[in-house]
Amino acid sequence: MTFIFPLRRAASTAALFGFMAIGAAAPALADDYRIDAAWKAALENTDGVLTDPQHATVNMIAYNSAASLLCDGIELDTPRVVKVMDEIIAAAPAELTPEQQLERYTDILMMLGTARGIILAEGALHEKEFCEGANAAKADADINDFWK
Amino acid sequence: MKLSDISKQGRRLLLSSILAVAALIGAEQSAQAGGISPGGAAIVGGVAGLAIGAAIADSARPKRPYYYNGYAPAYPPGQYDPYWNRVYRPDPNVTCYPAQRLCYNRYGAISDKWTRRVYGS
Repeated sequence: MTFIFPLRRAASTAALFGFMAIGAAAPALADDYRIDAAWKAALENTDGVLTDPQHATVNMIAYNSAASLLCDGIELDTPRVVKVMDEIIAAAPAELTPEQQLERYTDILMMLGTARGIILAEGALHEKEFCEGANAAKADADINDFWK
Repeated sequence: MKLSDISKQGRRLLLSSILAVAALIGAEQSAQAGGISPGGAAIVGGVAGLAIGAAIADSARPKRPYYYNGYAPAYPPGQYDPYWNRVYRPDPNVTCYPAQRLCYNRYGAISDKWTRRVYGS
């Protein structure tokens, strides 16, 4: 990977979010297109709303949805998304008041929408590799994705 | 805005509007499952901004009363950064971020396989 790619990422990220630096100090790979500062800002106050598997599932739905928008030949399996999101939303702690359930529901939808938006931006920064990865995942029978 | 500021009728509309927001992915299926016709979902969608506004206004709250049962923060209060900066590499070509519950491959694209394997989605 040449040096131009980290520079291109930094420039694109700054253009998108108005920052001159990526921000997080995680030792990511040199050619990582992760928009660190956006993820951190989005996630810092939502920790604990979802379990790890639930959160990862919401991320996968967001990723699969973003790929269906950016990549040719990839289409979202909407009925499956609806079913799984229903399961996650229904898995609220039993003692919650209706108002708290409503707040939790809204938070989850916001988490999904935010993740989808950030992943869409990340994918657009390197669309070719992003779509190649999505198509490879789609072709892998061992991956239980949300695509048709 | 707080939910307590919203009247009972407003909350009903809010709930309906959130159902409409869910239509971002799967509009018709969500609406029909909730007993609302697609046309009805579009109508209540007119107040979707209210629900979104409430969620954004509340996003800075430090704690939520609806954490999942058994949740124990992986970081002490005010110590999110060290947690955020944690990295896990289950494979030389894969980088996972525990705070994000997401893994990336060496090309910087999301790894569907490793995210599911590591975080159990």
